[in-house]
Amino acid sequence: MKSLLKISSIIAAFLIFSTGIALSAENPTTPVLAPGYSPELDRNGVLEQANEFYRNGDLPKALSGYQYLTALGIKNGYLFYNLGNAYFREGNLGSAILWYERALLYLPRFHDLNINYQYARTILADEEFKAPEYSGTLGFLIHINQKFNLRECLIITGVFLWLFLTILIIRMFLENQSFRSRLSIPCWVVGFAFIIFFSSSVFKVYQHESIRQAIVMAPAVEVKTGPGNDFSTSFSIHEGTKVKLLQDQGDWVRVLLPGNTTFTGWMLKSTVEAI
Amino acid sequence: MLCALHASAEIKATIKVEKKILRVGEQTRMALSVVTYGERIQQEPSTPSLDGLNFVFVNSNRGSRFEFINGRSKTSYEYTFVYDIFAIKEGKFTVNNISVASDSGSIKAEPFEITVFPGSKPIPTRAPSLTAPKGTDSINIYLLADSSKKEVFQGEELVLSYDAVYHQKWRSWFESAIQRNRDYAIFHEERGALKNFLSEPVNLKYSSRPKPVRMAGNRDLFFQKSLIRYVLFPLTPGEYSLSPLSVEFRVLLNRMNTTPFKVQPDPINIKVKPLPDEGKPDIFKGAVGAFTIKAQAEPLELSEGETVTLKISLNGFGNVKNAPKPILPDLSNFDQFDPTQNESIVVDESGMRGSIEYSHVLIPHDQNANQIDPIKFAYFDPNTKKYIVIQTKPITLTIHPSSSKDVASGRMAFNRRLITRVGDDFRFIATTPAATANIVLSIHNSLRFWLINLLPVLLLALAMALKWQRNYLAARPNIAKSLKAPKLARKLLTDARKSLDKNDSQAVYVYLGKAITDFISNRWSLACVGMISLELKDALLKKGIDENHITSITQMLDEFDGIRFSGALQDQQRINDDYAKTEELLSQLMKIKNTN
Repeated sequence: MKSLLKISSIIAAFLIFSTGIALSAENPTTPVLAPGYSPELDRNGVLEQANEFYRNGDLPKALSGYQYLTALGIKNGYLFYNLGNAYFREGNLGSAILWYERALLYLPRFHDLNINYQYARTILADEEFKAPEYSGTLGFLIHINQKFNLRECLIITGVFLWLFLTILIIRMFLENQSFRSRLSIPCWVVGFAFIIFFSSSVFKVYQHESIRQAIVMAPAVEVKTGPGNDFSTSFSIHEGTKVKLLQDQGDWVRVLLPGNTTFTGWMLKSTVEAI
Repeated sequence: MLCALHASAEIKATIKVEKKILRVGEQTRMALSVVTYGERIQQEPSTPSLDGLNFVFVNSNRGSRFEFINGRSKTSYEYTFVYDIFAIKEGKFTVNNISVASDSGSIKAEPFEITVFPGSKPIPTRAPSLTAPKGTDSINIYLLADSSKKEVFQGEELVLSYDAVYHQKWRSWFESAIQRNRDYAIFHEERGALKNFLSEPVNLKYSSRPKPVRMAGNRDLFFQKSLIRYVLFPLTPGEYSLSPLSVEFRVLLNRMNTTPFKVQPDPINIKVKPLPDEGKPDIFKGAVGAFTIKAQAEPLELSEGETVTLKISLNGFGNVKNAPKPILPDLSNFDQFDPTQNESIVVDESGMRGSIEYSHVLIPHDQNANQIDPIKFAYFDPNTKKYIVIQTKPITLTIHPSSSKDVASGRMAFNRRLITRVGDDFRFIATTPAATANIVLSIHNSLRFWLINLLPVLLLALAMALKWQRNYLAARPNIAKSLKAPKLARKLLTDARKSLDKNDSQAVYVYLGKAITDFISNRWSLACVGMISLELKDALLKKGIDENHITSITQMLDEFDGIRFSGALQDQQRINDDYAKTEELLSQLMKIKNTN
């Protein structure tokens, strides 16, 4: 009898779980295009149409097109950049900064993106704390880290790994001492490059997986000393400011201002959006 | 400061002037230095008599220097004559006839120019009788704060002064501290207190001399010592209460200890008035003070395509450092290089003064570019409370036709302008169709990524193992041969098979015999070639091979040798059987473990 109950409860749990999956699969948030877009357009067509709307100054329609593409699950730096531009020109500074930040994850060397991002930051209400500047080897490593996205870092690390180990294996089996010594310098150079990109990749993976950052979307937010409105206000920040998310508790999230570890506090989750 | 030099073979005269820009009533110091080689100066130099400048001799001294150059000795004498020049009248004065009489005649120093502006109210020296500030204690050291004006116009120069006033009992301590450059007073400046002003601090802690003063209600003697001056230029109109400084004196109370003694002076109230709109010229750009302008071009006569340097010198009192540039006339008939700027500005306890010289290198387009129209400058004079526009005289140039045919191309090369941005730098969207491609950043989550990257590591491990094996066998040739024995035997069997296919029975038996002997040699390190059957039998027994195999080996080798040496033709079936028997024997031998 007990075993029968056990089996039936497992079957019931399985049924409930699978029903949940089925329901969630049945109700995805279907992206909707604004009027003005032809329903037969494919992704590229929507992008071209949205670019055309942007060019003509019809920003709400351009935004609708870009948002439709992101809702389809497309993750692309150029698309995010366009979305940031459209938000910026519409006057939505918080969203513009958010999408620029997202685009920077994909296109850290895209000059136009950096120009527009810096330009948007100059009109933020809050002057962000300056990140410490490093020189020497650490500065070089940070420079390398900032110039490549995670994908590029991992691919370059893989290429250098292959190159390094190939040279090492060839060198191992070369009988001619002269050829072996000629391969020493390339071996060291490639090995050094591999170590640099490997450490950069490790740091980027850590950043990607462990550090959560967000942008303030509300015009002005009071950061409290605890997770509730009853707590006193520690400081206030404004739309577009970047914060580091530390801890969730109910509707509240604990944040830290990057660049200054003394500015930390709690704010409503609804006032920030994760990058 | 001006440096004028005249040099001849045996005598050199140099003039140094502390300030070239003065107000009526001010004075400056001039030092005339004359260096001679052997000659003696007969008398004091003659000074010019100018209606507006008064030269007063202060002192003179003489020094000599002995030099030994290329085996020859040389003695030089340096005479220095110091004068104070007093400004009596306003105007521009060119001092050009200072001459020095020597044994061989007289020599004139290079001329220099002094500009004298109208006098203004002098910065008040403290009243001869002072009142001690409230709340001061018996130490009798006070900090006196004052300003040159209580009411100024926006941009007008204002000097805040902070002086120490101390009792005569501290005189020797103060003087010794100043002489030894000891920090007898620490300035605590409040950040942001002067945020509505451009400020230039002048530190006088160790430079000015104390003056005796009297305190009201006190019969003792006091001394007043200037500590710091703030030369200020108000940025915005309004009423301000300024308290930018507190001073911590370090007085020596007894022989060993100094005691910090902080003094906070009363705030100074300043009213800053806006500049009047009435009479404001169109070219006015905010200069307040007193200015003169001068322009000169060199050369005045030139050919097409050649350059002329236009030098504009702006002298004055007030915020000279941030003075706007003079308004240039239309120079569209000229090509221009980027102008250069040379400043000579003095900020002292009486304020800021100095000159800025702008150099414009111009290339006239053609002969029509023969005039540089007046250069204008507008400023507000706070003394007269009026706007004044000053301008230079027009400069006429003589342009000769060029002999070169490439004037136009030369002009194009020089016709360069600095590109400046006139709007925001906001970039357009990216129109690349690649924007719809889905990019996965975290490829480290895929199995393929790890497989691709682990593969070279595995290859390296494999290569290392192979390398180790190669090194191991290279150090142990017997083991290497033993391991290679089956492979070599199979190769010989293959050769035998090929010979069999060609019906070459002699070669077949050669290869079969060699396969057996080589295998034995390699496998057990036994040189069996040339042994008779009994010797081979003994040797194989010693290697631990059982007798059945030994019998087979010896029988087969004897049989094969017999066939080879007899030269008798064998039928195909017999050869095939022998081949099979050899193959079987070798496969059995290969199974025997090598114990050596």
